Amino acid sequence: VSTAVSHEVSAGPVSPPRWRRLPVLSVLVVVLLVSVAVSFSVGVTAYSPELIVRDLAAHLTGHPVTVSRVDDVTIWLIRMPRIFAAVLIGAALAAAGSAYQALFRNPMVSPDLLGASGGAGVGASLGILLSWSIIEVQLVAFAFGLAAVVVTYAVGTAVGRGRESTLTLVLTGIVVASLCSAMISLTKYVADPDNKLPEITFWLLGGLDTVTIRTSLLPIIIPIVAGMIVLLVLRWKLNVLSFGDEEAASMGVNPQVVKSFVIAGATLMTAASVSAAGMVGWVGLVIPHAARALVGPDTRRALPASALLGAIFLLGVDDLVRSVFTTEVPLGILTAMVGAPFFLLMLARGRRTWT
Amino acid sequence: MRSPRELSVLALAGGLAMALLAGCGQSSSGSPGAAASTQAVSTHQVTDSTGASVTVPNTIHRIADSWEAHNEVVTMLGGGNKIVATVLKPSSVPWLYTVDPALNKAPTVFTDTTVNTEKLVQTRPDVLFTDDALQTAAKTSELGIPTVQLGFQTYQGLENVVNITADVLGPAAGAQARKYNSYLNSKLAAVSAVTSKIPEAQRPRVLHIYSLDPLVVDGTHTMINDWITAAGGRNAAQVVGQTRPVSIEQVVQWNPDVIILASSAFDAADTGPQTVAKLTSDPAWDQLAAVRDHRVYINPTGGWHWDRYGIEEALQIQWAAKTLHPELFRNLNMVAETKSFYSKFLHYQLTDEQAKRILAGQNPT
Repeated sequence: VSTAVSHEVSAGPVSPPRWRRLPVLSVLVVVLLVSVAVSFSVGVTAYSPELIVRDLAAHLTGHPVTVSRVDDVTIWLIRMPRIFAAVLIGAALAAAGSAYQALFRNPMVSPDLLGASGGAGVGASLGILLSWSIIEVQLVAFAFGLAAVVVTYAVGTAVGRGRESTLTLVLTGIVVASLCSAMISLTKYVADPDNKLPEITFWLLGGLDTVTIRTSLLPIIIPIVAGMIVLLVLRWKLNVLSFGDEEAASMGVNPQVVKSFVIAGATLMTAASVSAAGMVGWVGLVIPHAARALVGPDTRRALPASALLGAIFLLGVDDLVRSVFTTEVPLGILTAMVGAPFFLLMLARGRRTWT
Repeated sequence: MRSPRELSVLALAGGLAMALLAGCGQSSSGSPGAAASTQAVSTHQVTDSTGASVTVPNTIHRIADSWEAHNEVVTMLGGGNKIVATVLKPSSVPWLYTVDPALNKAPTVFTDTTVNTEKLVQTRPDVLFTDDALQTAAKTSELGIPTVQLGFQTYQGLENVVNITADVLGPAAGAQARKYNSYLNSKLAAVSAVTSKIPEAQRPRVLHIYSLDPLVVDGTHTMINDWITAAGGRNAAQVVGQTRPVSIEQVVQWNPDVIILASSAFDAADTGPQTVAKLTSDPAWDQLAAVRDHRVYINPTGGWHWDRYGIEEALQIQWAAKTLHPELFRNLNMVAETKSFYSKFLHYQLTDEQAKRILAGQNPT
């Protein structure tokens, strides 16, 4: 399969355009910080920066809160966890997508390729169907997400040998994902349409509204940060892998080991994200493209850029959810509605380098 | 391999994450408990349907209710004008908005699965009633809103929900709750006293249709099954649970003697009669005993659907008994009974015309 990533990488030592030499990563960090600041002030009610700083400072320093109770709850207990979750999950999905696109040398790959989202969806639907608490639903979603990828990886490596192993892995992933989606449909079919069915449907579409600090946010921080560290450490080796397994081996990189670690890291991040926020689509597919458009195909820069862009993107979309609509709209719908045209735009712009 | 600039970017990002993490850790330890008003006023404990103990203020001024059918329970118990946030819309339950016009002032901040937390907090509720099937309670409790989770599957469960709600709303509500529960029990007993003598063979097989397209019916182990049985019928649907999808083949095989159409089964803009007429002319349906004998009925709908989980179940058992066995319940005047119920429990004087519209499953004019 001739792909964008391999093309761009193998395009040779063409010097990047002048603007690519700007400190894009630093600019993205600044944009992210500004987005976080702005996100605190937008919503059902707009708050002045002074009020937000006063409230946040009081909490962070342990001083008594001087803003009104309603404002304090809105800023500290609603917006802060949501903003933090959007940043964390956006970064996780985009980084995992970026790593997978490099690993599988295919620009159409997203982090749910090996069944992580599907497995998590099965776990969550079952948990909701059985009326488990929100934390139990999240844990079982996480466990099923990991389990689905373990099954894919075990079957894929057992069946596939030699040069075809990657293709076999991807095909196994598609099979496992389809199986998961059938199982999700089954839970929806047997679910009580008055309460369980809408609950499952909404969960599958994704959202950050029920994110709580203790039950949703704290449990996902460790897997996401751990996965992120693995991907950041291995991003140079991912670059080498994009030349092909044999070339990588000749450069002293063991492709199987790198693959296993990258898949493990990306799976941890994806399963954790999906378990807390549901199936937020498109972030892991579109954002890595945007990142490569900004900093070029070099994974060493594309991966952190992708993480930062993903955080900014999901934060922005969730701000839309919070401020534009009077009742909560599933996040997954908006990421698709914003992500899909964006993707088309990039396809149109990038056509010359792709064909 | 890595430029110093990249490292500094990573360090900056890491630092940001750490700062936010520190903030989260703090809040999880020092979450500021109940709403500000409750710190000044006295509170009491209420045990909700999940068995959880919830601390609520003794005096409730502002109520949020995310469970559709429960808004009418609150209205009955005198809290209707205190609802400040709801899941309802005037178009979803027009009769409840007629009976309790104060509801028009309450913004719709819930959907059947979600809550707009920011809007909910802006309404400053003293208590939130929610369906125990929903996953939002963890979030709203964290926001310091006392969240009472409720649910019921039986008449006994309905009584409990009325009692728990009264425990939250105060002593005046308690008196009204006892009045309602005794009405429910006396009507259930009165109807059962007549219907329990009906031999099995004379109990019509009743199919309750929730939706026609797709075909969805209510099976056994539901409250629908309970009122069919209490009213002297047998549930024709041999499936377990509420709102089960079935095939027309199955329905033909069950061949029900009576069909009751929920208002959710009506075609788009129809109010019922057209849907009934369509069934009569449909070759798949017109061979059924119920259709042939003109025993297809439209279920009444008031402040909530009589046939589903709500307080007007007390009227449903009487209506269903008279519908299935008109000869045994000649003296039961459903128009008068409906008017008396609305007057006693919802403090609203229905006209005869309004009561007839409710019984016909029609919206207010």
